[in-house]
Amino acid sequence: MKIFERHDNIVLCRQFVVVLVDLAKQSGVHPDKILKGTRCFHQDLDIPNKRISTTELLTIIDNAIRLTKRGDLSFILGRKFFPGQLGSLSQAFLNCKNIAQMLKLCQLFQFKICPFLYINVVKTQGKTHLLFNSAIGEVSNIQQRFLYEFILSAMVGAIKYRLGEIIPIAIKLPYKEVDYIEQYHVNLGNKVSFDQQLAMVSFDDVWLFHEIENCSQSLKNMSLLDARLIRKEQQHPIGFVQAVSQFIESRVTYQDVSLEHCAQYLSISTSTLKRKLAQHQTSYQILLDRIRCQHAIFAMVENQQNNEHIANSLQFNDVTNFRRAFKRWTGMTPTVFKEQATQH
Amino acid sequence: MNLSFLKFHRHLFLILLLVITSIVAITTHLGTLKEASELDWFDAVGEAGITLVTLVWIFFILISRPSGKVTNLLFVGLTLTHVSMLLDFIDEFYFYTSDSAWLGTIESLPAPVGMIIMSVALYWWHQEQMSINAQLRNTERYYRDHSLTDFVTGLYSAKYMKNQLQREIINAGIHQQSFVMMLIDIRKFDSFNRKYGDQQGDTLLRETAQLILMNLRDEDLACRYASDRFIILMPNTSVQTAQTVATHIEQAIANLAFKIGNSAAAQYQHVTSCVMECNGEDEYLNVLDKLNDRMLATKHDINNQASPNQLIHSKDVA
Repeated sequence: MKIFERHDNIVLCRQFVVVLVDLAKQSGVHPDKILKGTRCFHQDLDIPNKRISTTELLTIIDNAIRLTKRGDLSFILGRKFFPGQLGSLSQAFLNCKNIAQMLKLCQLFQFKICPFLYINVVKTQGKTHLLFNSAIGEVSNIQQRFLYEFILSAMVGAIKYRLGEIIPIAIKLPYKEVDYIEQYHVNLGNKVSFDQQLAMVSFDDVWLFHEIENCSQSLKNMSLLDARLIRKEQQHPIGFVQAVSQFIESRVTYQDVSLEHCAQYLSISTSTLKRKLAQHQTSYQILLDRIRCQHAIFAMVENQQNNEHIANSLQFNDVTNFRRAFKRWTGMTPTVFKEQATQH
Repeated sequence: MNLSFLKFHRHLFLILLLVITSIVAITTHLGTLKEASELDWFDAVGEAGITLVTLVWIFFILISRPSGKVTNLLFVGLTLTHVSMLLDFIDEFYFYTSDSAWLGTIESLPAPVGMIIMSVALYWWHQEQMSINAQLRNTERYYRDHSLTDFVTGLYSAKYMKNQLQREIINAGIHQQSFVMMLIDIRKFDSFNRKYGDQQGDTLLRETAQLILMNLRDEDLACRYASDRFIILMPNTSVQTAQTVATHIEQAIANLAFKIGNSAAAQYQHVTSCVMECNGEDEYLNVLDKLNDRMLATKHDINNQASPNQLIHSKDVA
């Protein structure tokens, strides 16, 4: 497994930066100002495969939002993303016969599509849920909003492009309601619940296999073959925090999720693991807490499991301990939380 | 700061420079420098400040306005005032012998003349503003805040509408009246953008905005909501009336022969509209939520109503 860190140059400028710089130019902000604080210069944007680090991308996002004072940058970036910014993958995407296939592609080629966020697909009775988490550690509130707005509008844009209309999806986001709600209305078109503990998109399975006309399976296979070859050559890495998070996620119920085990799994020392997580503005405990919290909430709301069961599966000694931990994570006891969730 | 107007005013800057240099030249030539002990520094600093501020005013007038009668008059008035201030300031450092004492006497003359000229200029400016306000019909109500303008369409942004909506909700509650909110959404705007580029997309938005304005009544307010969606507030209006206006707008835009660049081929666009009556009971965010839900439902219905042929066609376009 290859892993990239925050300072590794992995973000394709062509894919993300060029559009932001162009949009800022429209608002009268000079490209140099948008690129300030990075090692990327205006003329570098002409280099076809110029890559920058995720830290630099976050700086550029901050600059763009601060200088243009626009709330729609992330949404425009997202709406333009599909299929134009996907390079060799666009052919494969344009020939998927349903959303399930597109989703599969997203997971296989996450690095090419969105290296900074990763998706977990979880199934419940008749429903599909996509859980989003940061692959690059903690980010500021503004950056977090930007990344989620981007990925959501890219997703909605892709569905609209292929199906001809927006499908009903439920969106939960972990931050407070924004004061530019109109952008959510127009670009996402669906009800968004803010201030949730997780970032999640849910929809009925009917849509997952809803047939998309006008696609060729053989064209898709051909371009997939190409993409896979390139993928092998380039060895698509995943974010360091994503690797740690996925380690925890796969073992969070009934298995050993200790820091030591994780370090051993990644073949690094525990101190290196701690240091690298600190470089990503996070810690093992933060990640562990978040994943447990997400698991608990999901099990509670979507799977209707009781507290005893959840506490047991998450390896708490007893329900009281679980209740206490849950209150620390969410500010609410499990009972209050469940009441609120059913009201929504 | 946008300095694009400066190039129209080169001659005015030249005049200003000439006036200032000739005044400094004449006074320093005719006067004699005062001893340091004679100087009243407090006075000098104060007068220097006023002199500088009048210069700053001239600068802002010139970068804010195109050439013309009102601009010239404002410039003359302010320059005369500036001359008085400058003479007064130099006065602090020089004293004049009896044969050039006239300099001291006339120093307060330019200012009043300048101020009278400025008053006339301001009156004309008022008239000019009135005619601009008439052009702003349907784009603003009671309140002006240029920072809320959407730079693509020239309409106010959603933020301005939210303020007006809150105000209207209170108003409707007090007077037991109802008002109507309307949304206008351009169909297939994304595919238009993909096909012809963002710049053409912006032009389309601008022209659509103009057409919407043309079809509104005097009391209505139109703003850009987000992306390709416009929002309209119609005070004291019934749903029927609003629906009629919405139909007018739909027809007007359907008949707009939009041209891409220099091409003579017409691109016809269609919009979806929906209206909703409000009576001041809902909170403004709820109103916006419901209104946008209604738009989603309307679009869904339209997609489902379309005949199979049209569907295939629309997919080809998308």
